[in-house]
Amino acid sequence: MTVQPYIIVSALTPLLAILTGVFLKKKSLLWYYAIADFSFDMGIILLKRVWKTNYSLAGNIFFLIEFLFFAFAFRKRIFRNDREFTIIISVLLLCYLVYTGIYHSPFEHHLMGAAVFFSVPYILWCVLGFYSIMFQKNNRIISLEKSSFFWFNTALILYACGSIILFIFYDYLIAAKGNKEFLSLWLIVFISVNILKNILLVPIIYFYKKEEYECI
Amino acid sequence: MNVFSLIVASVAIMLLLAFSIVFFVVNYQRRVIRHQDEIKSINDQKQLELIQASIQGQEEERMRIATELHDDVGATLSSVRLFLHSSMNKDADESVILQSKQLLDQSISSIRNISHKLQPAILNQLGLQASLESLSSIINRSSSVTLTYTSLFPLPKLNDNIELSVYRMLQELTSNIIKHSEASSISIESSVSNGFLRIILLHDGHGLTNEMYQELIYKKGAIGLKNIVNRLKSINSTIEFSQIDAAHFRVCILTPILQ
Repeated sequence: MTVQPYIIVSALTPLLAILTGVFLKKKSLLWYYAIADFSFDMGIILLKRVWKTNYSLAGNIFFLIEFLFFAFAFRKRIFRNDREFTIIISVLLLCYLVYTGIYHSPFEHHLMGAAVFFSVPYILWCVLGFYSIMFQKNNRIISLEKSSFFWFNTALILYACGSIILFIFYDYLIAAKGNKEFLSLWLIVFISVNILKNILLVPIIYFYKKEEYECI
Repeated sequence: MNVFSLIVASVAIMLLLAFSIVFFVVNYQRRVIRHQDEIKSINDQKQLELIQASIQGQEEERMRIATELHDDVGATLSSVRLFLHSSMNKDADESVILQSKQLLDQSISSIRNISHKLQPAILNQLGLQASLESLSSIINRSSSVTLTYTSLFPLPKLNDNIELSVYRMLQELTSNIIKHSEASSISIESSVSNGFLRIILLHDGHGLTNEMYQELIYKKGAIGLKNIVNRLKSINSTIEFSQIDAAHFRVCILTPILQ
């Protein structure tokens, strides 16, 4: 089973969100994330297919950048103050860096760090994000489908829940290197979840309002 | 079960969990919005009823004035005209002139009464306390009910709107008590303390409790009570109806008087 077309589609899907942002002139943090995502996916394809070099370092760095984008998107909505935000983010980053960069090697893919230090917080933040939507003070959201923050939480919780199991089992994938069927299955499931997240970036940018990300 | 199936099943369960959370949020928000819509619709309905009550109150007042002018003043003046016309044809008859004078006095008195009911002059000139004393003497003269008014301390001159609203509410309440409650005595007591004007009205007829009052103001009709609600709103006041024992009911109006 060839996964190449899926990889190309997955790499191109952030373009939808980027174009939405360009046409609507809504250049938010998550629009820049879409650009970073698109650039990274294209970079990986180049590194892997054209230059045939090791792309694990780029992958590890991207997880880190992605984490910062999402953390900053949540910053004013679920963290009580900047101090709390800085402490939590620093601790998680440090743990990830120690686990991936020192305990293992930054030139290898070890996704357990991303699963534990990034995906688990994403799920918790999304739950808190949904909680803040349900009980926000300046009451009434006209409809959830027009709330960028709701779409952001939906995209991220689906992405995190879908990928956490795959990340956890990634070490098994490394152990079973010869098993191409397993590799294909892993990639297809991950790419599907990634495409879903990338498509959901469109309503996130389309309905983006700065104040939604700045008030509780 | 091999590892592949386990991974796929785990991913599916996690995604299902994520979808469940999203579904729960959407469902919850829909319920909240539906609930808010219901509250808004009830408030709109109540607002509409209050406006209607206010308009109907004005119309009834106009009708009352028109009836009094037509049936009382108009009829009396027509009689005077008739007397004067008949006296033109004969020599001046003193009794006809006397009768005409009496009828004119009656008309003047009727017009004064109408004017007094429209805007009690005493309220503007002497304030709420004197107006309530006057109201009690009018009721004592004109009905079988005994009304006693006492003020624990002399009431200061209050804001015109507060004085008029409180006076009108007490007029409406006493009129309702006389009409519907079969009371034989009513007492009104006023006092001012801690920036509040407190009016306590006691009577020995069939009265209202707070629950009955809340029910009535949401029902059709009860124009007088809805007008009271409007007046209470306009001066940020509260009203409380209660039964204090088997034979006595109490109404308490609390009005902030400090601006």
